Amino acid sequence: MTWYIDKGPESDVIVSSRIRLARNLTQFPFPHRMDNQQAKQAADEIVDAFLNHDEKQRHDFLTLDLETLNEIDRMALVEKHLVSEDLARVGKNHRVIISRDESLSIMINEEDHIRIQAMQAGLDLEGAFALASGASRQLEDNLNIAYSEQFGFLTACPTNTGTGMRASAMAHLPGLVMTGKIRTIVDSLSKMSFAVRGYHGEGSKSQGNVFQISNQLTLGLSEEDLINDLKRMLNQLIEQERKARRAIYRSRPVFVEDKIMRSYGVLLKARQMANDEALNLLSDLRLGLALGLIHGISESEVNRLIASIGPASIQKTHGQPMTPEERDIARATAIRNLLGEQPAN
Amino acid sequence: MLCERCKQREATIHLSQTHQGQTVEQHLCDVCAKEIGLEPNLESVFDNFFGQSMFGQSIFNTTGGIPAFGQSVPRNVVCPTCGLTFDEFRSSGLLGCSHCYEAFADRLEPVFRRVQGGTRHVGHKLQESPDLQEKQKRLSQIADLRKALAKAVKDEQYEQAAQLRDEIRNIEKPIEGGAET
Repeated sequence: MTWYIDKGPESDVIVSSRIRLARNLTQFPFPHRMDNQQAKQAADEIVDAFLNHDEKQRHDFLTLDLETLNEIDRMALVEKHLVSEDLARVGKNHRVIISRDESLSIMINEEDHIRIQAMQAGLDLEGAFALASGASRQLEDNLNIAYSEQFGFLTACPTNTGTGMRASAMAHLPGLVMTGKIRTIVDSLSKMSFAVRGYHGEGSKSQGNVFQISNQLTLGLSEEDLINDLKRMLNQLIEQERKARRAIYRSRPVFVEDKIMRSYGVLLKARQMANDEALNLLSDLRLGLALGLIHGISESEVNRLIASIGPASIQKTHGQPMTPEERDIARATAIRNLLGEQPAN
Repeated sequence: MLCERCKQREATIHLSQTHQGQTVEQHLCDVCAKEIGLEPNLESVFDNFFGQSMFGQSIFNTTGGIPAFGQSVPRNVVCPTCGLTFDEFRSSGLLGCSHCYEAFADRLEPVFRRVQGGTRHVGHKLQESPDLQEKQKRLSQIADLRKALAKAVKDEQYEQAAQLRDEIRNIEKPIEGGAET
């Protein structure tokens, strides 16, 4: 399943679910202390362990060396959440193994030697965990993975030690933002040891009312307990968001309809559009779909659109570097094409 | 709802955590939460983790989480495998290699107590390759049999020796076959 193509459970609120597992090799220092030769050797071993023991695997996965990619290709991978911004930055033997359906990626030589990442559409942390731990087992079979009885899986940063697992969900929360409840909720989530961040993870601000929510603890709790805690909290959050959407629509129907329809109108007619503006307008469109005000387009089509109109993705589709203005024109055209209006002449 | 610890202030923090299938709920006020070491948000966890505590002393300077007041400053520990010093870890927040965990074990425990849900791993264990385990089991069996064979030959128990030799051959076959794959 590809998170931005398929429709997942609770997709009116949860865009996608992700599991990340951090693993390291015993015989090398952690990536920030490796020289070039060690980094190359570690990367070769990891790629070999994952791909060269299974014929089918070689066919289903693709290995990319980030150093050989240009800036646009690297950033397009970030926009699709296949690699982190840290991995996309120039570094020693940064590589990534990606499944053809883009549901699984294995980042090599980021903060840890191995970071397995699995993504699923909607709220499906279990599905993502099954994918990620399957990949982990394969690597564990063929590599000397750093592990201790006391501390579990050993990672470069002690905030990942133990399970090495970060479970997260991308939640679209326009109702809680509009009703102003989001601040209190973010505060109380932090108190319950969940981390809340913007669309592109660490340090980023929320774009288009999408928030990334994840577990903070990795040691002292099992993977299942961590996933269940996060899932139970997300289910409450989903209910609160739906309640907020209903409440605001009931109390101010014209305000809500006007906001959504204005955005829909701009998306349908605009001739150039910056990415931030597009994400905010598409948030309104998504809300319009959930409230049954807009028809003829699906949530997964909106997800696919968002994954394809980032500054790098739009240039990748175009096949060459573009000026910001050219990008804004191409973006507006892509949006009009999807929403049904004929391209501008 | 009143805080279940002080039973005076209003509970503002509601925790529910599952551990081995048991869900425990806690309702605390801000003050009590702080007193038992629950940090109000991520930033302050990191401030405490990487930065300075109230007394101008980093948490890493203390042993077992107790301020090293009046004690001599402990020597800077070095990881024998990668050469990272504990001071370097303290300033970057990153360990040098997986062996640092052993080298700094005593000092890491209080760190984990602060930033983590516990100090012991209770999640999935490292997968030991079943093939590898099976192979190791057979290899140790063979070693035992070879010892017995040597003893049998020495004691001139040839019938027993022949039996042992056949047994060894039987076990060795699948290993050789398996080594090809």
